[in-house]
Amino acid sequence: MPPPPPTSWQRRALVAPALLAALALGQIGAWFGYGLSPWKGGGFGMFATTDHGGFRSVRVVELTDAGERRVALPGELERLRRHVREVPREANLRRFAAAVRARAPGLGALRVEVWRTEFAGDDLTPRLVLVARAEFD
Amino acid sequence: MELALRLFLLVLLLDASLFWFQRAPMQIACGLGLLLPALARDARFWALVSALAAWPLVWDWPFSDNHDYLRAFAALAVMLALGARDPAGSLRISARLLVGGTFFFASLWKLVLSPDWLDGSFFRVTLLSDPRFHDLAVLAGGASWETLDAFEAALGDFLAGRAPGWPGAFVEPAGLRPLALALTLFTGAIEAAIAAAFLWPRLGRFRNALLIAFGATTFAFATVRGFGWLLMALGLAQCEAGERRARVGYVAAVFLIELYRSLPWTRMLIDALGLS
Repeated sequence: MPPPPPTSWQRRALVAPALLAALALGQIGAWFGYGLSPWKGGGFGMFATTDHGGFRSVRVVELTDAGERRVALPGELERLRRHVREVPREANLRRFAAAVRARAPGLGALRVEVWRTEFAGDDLTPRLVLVARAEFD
Repeated sequence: MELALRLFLLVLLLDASLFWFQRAPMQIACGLGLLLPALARDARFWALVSALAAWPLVWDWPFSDNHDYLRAFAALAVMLALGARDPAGSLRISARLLVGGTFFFASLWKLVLSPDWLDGSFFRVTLLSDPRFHDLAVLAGGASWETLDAFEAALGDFLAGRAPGWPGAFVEPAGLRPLALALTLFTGAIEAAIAAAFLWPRLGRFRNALLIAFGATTFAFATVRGFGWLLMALGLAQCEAGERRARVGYVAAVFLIELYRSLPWTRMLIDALGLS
């Protein structure tokens, strides 16, 4: 015999767990879709992987006719840099490029890159792996 | 249910948000809830607590930790339960599923989505790089403080793109791999077992022992006391009426987690063994 349908108070009890599951599934989708840090976003990926903010880096490169030049990031953009590091969506990369350019108006085209660190299983040698990249004129 | 509500309020009071303007209102509300039991049984009060727990998630996005989200879900579950026909029964269901969901997704990340968990390199790197695990690396992994310093220096040089970079003076201690493997197996197994016990009714008789064991072991080193307390409070809230011993176990685990934090027992052991 199938179990009886849940009563209204039993359905109430499912609301918070359903929200937890929806958020966690959304977090996995965001990690898959645009590289959201597994440690952030409410998906319970903490202490599961070394792919966290401490091992991610944000780089801004100026693209000139003479070649590429790494741009030093001003300290006042630290919070925004950390935000981009955790949530490397293109809109955030664009916002970061605009903020860098606002502090150095002479800059040409910019490329913003977010990298994570992977460690080799045999001797823990680290290597950088690109998470997200976008160019802005 | 009364005890569970009090424990929730205590956890929310003692492990509030980082910023004072988020922390102070929550602490005032929880303090009042602890002083006035009628308030703690009022769904409208818990609606306020839920809002106070939820808005920092938006304000601090994306920097909140996982247990910040769980805190908001727990407060919401209490609010909805207090408005239900059977508040204790409703809270039991919510708390059980919140714990089960938490460990289901934690296990999914560890056992399916993270290759560096499965090959053991997550714990090898974490033992060397995360100061919260350094005492364990020295006590059980054969690491010396010089090794930890060498790893930090080599990794710092690598991440900054400086010479000489990797590996510098770093040599992985021989005892680290077995320790990392043991931690990987234990953590993966107990978290998956908790998820199964809380989500699959046929394994229900194991759920309290597993969750209390998790609290008593994991938080001895992982000093995320707010997460530990919240899990123990949820564990207590999902206890059946007759599970008195389990309730005592959850409360004892809350005190034990605090003891782990307040007593520098690993450092005392390191000193006693002459490893400092």
